[in-house]
Amino acid sequence: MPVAGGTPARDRAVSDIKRRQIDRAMKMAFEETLNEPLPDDLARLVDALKKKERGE
Amino acid sequence: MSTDSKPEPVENPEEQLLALLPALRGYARSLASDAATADDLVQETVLKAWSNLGQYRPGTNMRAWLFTIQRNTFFSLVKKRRREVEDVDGEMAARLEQKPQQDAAMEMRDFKRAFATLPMEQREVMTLIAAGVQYDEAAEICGCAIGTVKSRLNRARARLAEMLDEDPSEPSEPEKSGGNCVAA
Repeated sequence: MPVAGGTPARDRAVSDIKRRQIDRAMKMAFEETLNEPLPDDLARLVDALKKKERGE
Repeated sequence: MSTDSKPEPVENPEEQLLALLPALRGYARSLASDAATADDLVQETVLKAWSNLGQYRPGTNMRAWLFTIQRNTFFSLVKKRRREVEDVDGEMAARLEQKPQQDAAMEMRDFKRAFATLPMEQREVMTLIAAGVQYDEAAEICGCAIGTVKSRLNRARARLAEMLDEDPSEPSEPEKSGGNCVAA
């Protein structure tokens, strides 16, 4: 019987190897996003904010 | 570097905010699941944060502050869009809740596809942890207990493992009719 706040058996089923693979893939996917160029709208917004910061 | 006894000089909040923009995009993807909505969300978040920078306490965690704003902004946007579009085709709902897709190999494309099928709460926790956010910080951002963060993370991993372990040569029943495609 599941205990409130406990970890169901299904949750424990992921092996350490699998977990590391998944975590590594997740990190890569996230880092991929970090390296993507900003879309035009966002790049324009950033430029505008930078100008504002410099008081232009 | 600095001859002062103090630690590294703190960047000004504006610079910090702009430097965290890529991380905001990464987190937005976990909330919105399609790139266009995610970028709209980042834009709204940056504008909101910029105009409220006076409320940010220097020296505290800017990333957690921004992620919290982004999360709140996401839920406001969803509500607003639901009202505007009335979600006629269930398009927004489909974006937010993708159906599980059967795919196997541990390749990035398959991973992203599988990831997009996770419930938003699980996607966001996985993204926060991948971004290097600590459990307690993630709990604060998501407004839940640390145990909930861990549990969501475990469920997400288990679900991804299930999806990615499935044999692609065996088409599953729901996919035969060509189910919902997920934009990775």
